[in-house]
Amino acid sequence: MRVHDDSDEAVVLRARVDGEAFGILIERYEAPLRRYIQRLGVRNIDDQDDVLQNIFIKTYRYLNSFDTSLKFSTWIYRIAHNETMSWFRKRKVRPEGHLVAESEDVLSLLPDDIMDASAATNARLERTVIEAALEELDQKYRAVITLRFFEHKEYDEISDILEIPIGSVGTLLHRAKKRLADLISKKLV
Amino acid sequence: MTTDQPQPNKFSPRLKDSVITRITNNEVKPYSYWRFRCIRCAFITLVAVSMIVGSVAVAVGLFTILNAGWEYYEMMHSNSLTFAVAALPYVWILLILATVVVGSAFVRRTGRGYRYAPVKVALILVALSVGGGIGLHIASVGDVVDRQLSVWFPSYYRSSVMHQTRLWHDPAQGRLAGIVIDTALENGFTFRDVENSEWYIFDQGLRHYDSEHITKGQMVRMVAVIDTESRSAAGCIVVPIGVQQSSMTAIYERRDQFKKRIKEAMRMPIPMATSSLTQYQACHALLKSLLPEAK
Repeated sequence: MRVHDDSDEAVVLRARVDGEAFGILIERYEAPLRRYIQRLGVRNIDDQDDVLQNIFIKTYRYLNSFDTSLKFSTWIYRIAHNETMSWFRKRKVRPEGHLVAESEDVLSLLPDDIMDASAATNARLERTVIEAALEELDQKYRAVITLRFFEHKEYDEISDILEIPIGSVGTLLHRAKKRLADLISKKLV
Repeated sequence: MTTDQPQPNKFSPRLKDSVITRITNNEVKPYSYWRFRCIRCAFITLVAVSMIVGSVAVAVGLFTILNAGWEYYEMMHSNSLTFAVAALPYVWILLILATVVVGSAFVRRTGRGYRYAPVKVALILVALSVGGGIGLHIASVGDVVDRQLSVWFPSYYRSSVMHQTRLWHDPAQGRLAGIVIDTALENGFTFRDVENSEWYIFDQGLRHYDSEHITKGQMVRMVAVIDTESRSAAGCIVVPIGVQQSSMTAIYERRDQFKKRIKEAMRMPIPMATSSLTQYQACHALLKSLLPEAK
């Protein structure tokens, strides 16, 4: 079997002794992680490169701490999340606006009792409204919305990435959806 | 959309190369496996240590509460609730809370500890500490720790004995607690209270079961009719201070005995035409005021 066909976990085992093998993980995760940190608010491409480099270097340093009972993708998303938050703190900046190419996904997942049909339709027409609403959303809510609706992560994965109790994921997500719906409704008035 | 929008799902060799170059040039190596193993073990150990400290705190706290003098609470407070508020060992309670908070924080750092709600983790730690504490209390660990701490840190640690002494001592209410200094005196004995004041105690109002506790060096608590100006008092009831068997049954037994003694003391006829007549009368009046139900 070629190395490129190996599972992430198998590549991690190899990368622990062979730095070159780590390149495969970079190839696999650069694009999804770039999308993720971008959605968290790192818009500038040079900043993204900086954050991504830090994420991969940190991942490499901590390879031996990888708990094989976790999925590698979950683990590297956790590192990415923490590094991005740390980057925001160091730069003392608020996350920048989002790209919401898949904002319809978010709207379609908002419960009907929160977002009525007319509001949803209007919102679909006005992507900028959704962008602005997401931009105003607290970081914790933005992260959970991004992971659930854009990265399509399961609750237990979100729990592992954000290092919060599984029960809190549901609560956070519920509040995030409600807050987002409120923000969108306000903007549509 | 901005112009610096990256191409999603596209991998750029530029980033991979620069990361690999940084790894190679800076000789970046993965941290040792054992480093992480040790850190993980350290956190598990710290959780265990927090729980052990918490259990010991529960054991000493229990020991202190049970030896606070519940048998005589009516003498000190109008009800058991206000006595409980005064008698609770707050330092130990704070230590238990601290170990739970610290332990919960460490649990979060062990493996998947973060998956559990902090409240649930804290409640589990409290339950384990209480369970462990009860076990240690039964094994007399609370007693031993209390004693040792008072030996090692006499200036900083208030032992269970000192705790019950402080709870009892209140000359304004006719309660003295301290140590018997000299018994070879006519009509009484000398006594040094917990605040280091010396008293002359007249013993005519005492019964034989009071007198048996009046030996040199014995720590006692007493109910007495006090004259603060002359630093003298007429003793009415004397009970030893000290650590005793502190099961609930033992406490109830001692409590019943104490109440019986008071009732008996109140029923005893006042000796006529003796010099101690006033002392008996004063003791009766004082006991009546302190424990009206014993009439």
